[in-house]
Amino acid sequence: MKRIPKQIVLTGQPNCGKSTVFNSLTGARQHVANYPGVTVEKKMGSFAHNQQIYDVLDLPGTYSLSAFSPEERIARDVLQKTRPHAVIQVMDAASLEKGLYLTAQLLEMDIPLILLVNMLDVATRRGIHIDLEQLSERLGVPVVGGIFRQGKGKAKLLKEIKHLTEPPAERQSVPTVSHQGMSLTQSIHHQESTGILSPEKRAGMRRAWAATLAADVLTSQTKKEPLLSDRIDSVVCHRVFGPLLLLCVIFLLYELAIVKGYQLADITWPLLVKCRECLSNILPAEGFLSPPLISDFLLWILDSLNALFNYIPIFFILFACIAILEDVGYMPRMAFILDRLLCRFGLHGQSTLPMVLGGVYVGGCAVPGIMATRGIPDTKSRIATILIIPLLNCLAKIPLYILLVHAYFPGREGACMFFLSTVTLLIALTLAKILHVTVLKNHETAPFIMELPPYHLPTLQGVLSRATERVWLFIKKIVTIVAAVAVVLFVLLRFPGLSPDQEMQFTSRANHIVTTFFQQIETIDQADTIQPKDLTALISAYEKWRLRGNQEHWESDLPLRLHFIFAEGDNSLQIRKALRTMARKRKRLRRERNRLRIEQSLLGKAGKSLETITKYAGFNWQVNVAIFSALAAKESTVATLGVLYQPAENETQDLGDRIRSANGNFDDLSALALLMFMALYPPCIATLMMIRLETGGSKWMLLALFIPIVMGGIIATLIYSGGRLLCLSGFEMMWWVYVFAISGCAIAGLSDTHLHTIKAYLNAWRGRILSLKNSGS
Amino acid sequence: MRLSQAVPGDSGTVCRLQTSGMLAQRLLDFGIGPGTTFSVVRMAPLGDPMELQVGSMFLCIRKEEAHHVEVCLS
Repeated sequence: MKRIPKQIVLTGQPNCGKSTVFNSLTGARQHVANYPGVTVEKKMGSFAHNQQIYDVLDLPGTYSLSAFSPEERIARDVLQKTRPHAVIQVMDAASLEKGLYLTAQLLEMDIPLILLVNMLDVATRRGIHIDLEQLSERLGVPVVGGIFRQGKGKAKLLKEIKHLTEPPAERQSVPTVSHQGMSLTQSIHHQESTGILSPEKRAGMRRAWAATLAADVLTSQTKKEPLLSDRIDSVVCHRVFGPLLLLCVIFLLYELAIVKGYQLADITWPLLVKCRECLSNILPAEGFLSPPLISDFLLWILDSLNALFNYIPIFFILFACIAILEDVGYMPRMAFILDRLLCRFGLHGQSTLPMVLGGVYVGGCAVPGIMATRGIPDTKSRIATILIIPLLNCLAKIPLYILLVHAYFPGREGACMFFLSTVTLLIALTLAKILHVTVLKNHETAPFIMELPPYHLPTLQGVLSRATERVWLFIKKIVTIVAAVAVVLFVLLRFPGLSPDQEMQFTSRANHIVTTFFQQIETIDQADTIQPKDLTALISAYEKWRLRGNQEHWESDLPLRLHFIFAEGDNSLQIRKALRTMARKRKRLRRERNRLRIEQSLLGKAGKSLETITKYAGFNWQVNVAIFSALAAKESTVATLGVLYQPAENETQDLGDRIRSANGNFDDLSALALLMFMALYPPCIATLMMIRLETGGSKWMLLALFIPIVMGGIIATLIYSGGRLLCLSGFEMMWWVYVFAISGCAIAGLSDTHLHTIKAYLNAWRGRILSLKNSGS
Repeated sequence: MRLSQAVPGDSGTVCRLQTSGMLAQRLLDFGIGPGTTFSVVRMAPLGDPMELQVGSMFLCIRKEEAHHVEVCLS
């Protein structure tokens, strides 16, 4: 390969087939990044042709270069500042005039341009013929026709690229580029020099120029039959079928991604468990009382990461589904159908999909939801959408819902789950409106004008590559941060740890358990083969044997001489019995030690000192610690509660009963307060990172962190203290919360005209009362 | 008359844009300016936004924005 790579930039309007051209040119050699500070995807790739490497940059699709949206600003900056060797404008042959509008702006910039008129087949089918040669002559730039979906036109395009990027010395002919000092640019420059040319006027001139040129090079046979896309739209956007179809699409998406995704995750989970086993085999072995610090630490981090990796199948299916919906062109239709409803709350028609993914009804995930907000063209409603998605019901909140609902609202589980999943949506919508009129008030808002592009059939390769790309981007962005938070939490939960006195006490109790075990098996034959150092391995083998029956390798870590314990026979049975007692005692001792350690840890102390405030919300210190630990991942809430509420003597009690019986203060009102707090809980670390990435700033991330804490805290306090004051039960309080949420949402959803009507109505009444008063006096 | 008052089936020409700045620029980017012929295809199920056909392109626009476009029906 010779010489430095040549820079090529692809530009074009949305839906002109630009990505097909990009893929066709670069193949698999491409990668995606973000432009600094904004959330516009930067797609880059490269290819080699005739021993020359070309770097291709795919600009975001823009209708013009007027610099009103982030995409347009970027496209403009790249074209003006980087001075690429060649700029290829891709345009849809079926809407030439629209494309020429952008061409006019590119010509004004005076850059080496190649025009690629794509999708000629679609145009031909519509009876449109374009005189490409005349077009090239009139514009003074090379024009290539093509059907890139079938790979037609690529060779010609490569030839033109080579021709345009060759250094002048090697060129055979004088470049025709200077010829493009066309009537349009000339007149614009002329008018600019004589006076101010308003943007509207300039746009008007470009439009007129494009219309004249298009009329000259087009021969249309004016087939006036309705277009296929329009015929599809008459069903998809129909008054009745439209919303029905939308429901079906949402249901299908949910079914595929969440339900099937979970089934797929069940298949991939054992792989992650294998990884953990491999790691734990390398690490120093478990002690009788506690694992060595290093194993404990590394396994803790791996567990945190695994909790995340477990979601990858779900993410993959979700991203693939989104890619399909994007490619087909359904997204703008979805926005068209629901915009009226959502715009009342300061959201956008396209907020629908992100909210569905975030978990409008039970079960979703905020991360893909936030990623899906990319499609929303209006920054204001986009940020509002991003900030309310974490309030919806992500999958990780469900275990706690189930735990508390079963324990405190038996017999009313269905109603409670319905309450939780709908009340969050009501609160989220209300919050969106509040944000809309407060923090986001001064944000620029884009007018709602959107193209409903023709329907396309998605390609398998396109969908898969986009899904993989996004999953990879997600993993890359958050693995390090999740690991970092896991480390911090580990430290906070383990240190300063137990005092030497307590440690000694536990050791002596452990020794006592061991001694009792050996006393019990003293009289049994062969028992003398068991040595104290075998005990941990023996217990773990016993647990495996008990759980999995005889098939699995319970024996893997066990010396051969001890295998007899798991054989048939009276002696073995007795040893196993003693083993069981010891295992149970050991478990209880370890739990007690864990609990004490957490209680004395930094986090435990923090939880305790916060109890003075949180008691008004009905939270004791155990709940506080669980809430803290949920910051890393909400899945851990239930696990932490499990450690803190250890079972009493009879181990059959489940966690819900344990929480209920252990602490008299934690009643159903506290449970409801905790449920509401968790429902509105701050987003997990992964989501926070995604928010930062998608909004391009830490400001919104911090807001997303604090709004739920404040709002959840207030609501939980109102529920608990208010309920106490009014002597309401948890279930009665739930109704009140619901009534308030619905009224709040209804008020938030009032439009300006409604408010005006109400104001006028009130004024009329005031007038009437005043006049009555006056006549009375 | 304003574009927001048009109903499905109507077609006509744009006379004037009663706005400037970003909205005007956007409208022009989508090819909506004085002299553009359009037809109203349908309304969204909830009555807003409206779908227009301009040339071979299908656009949807909120009534709020359509209110700024003065049109003459044919």
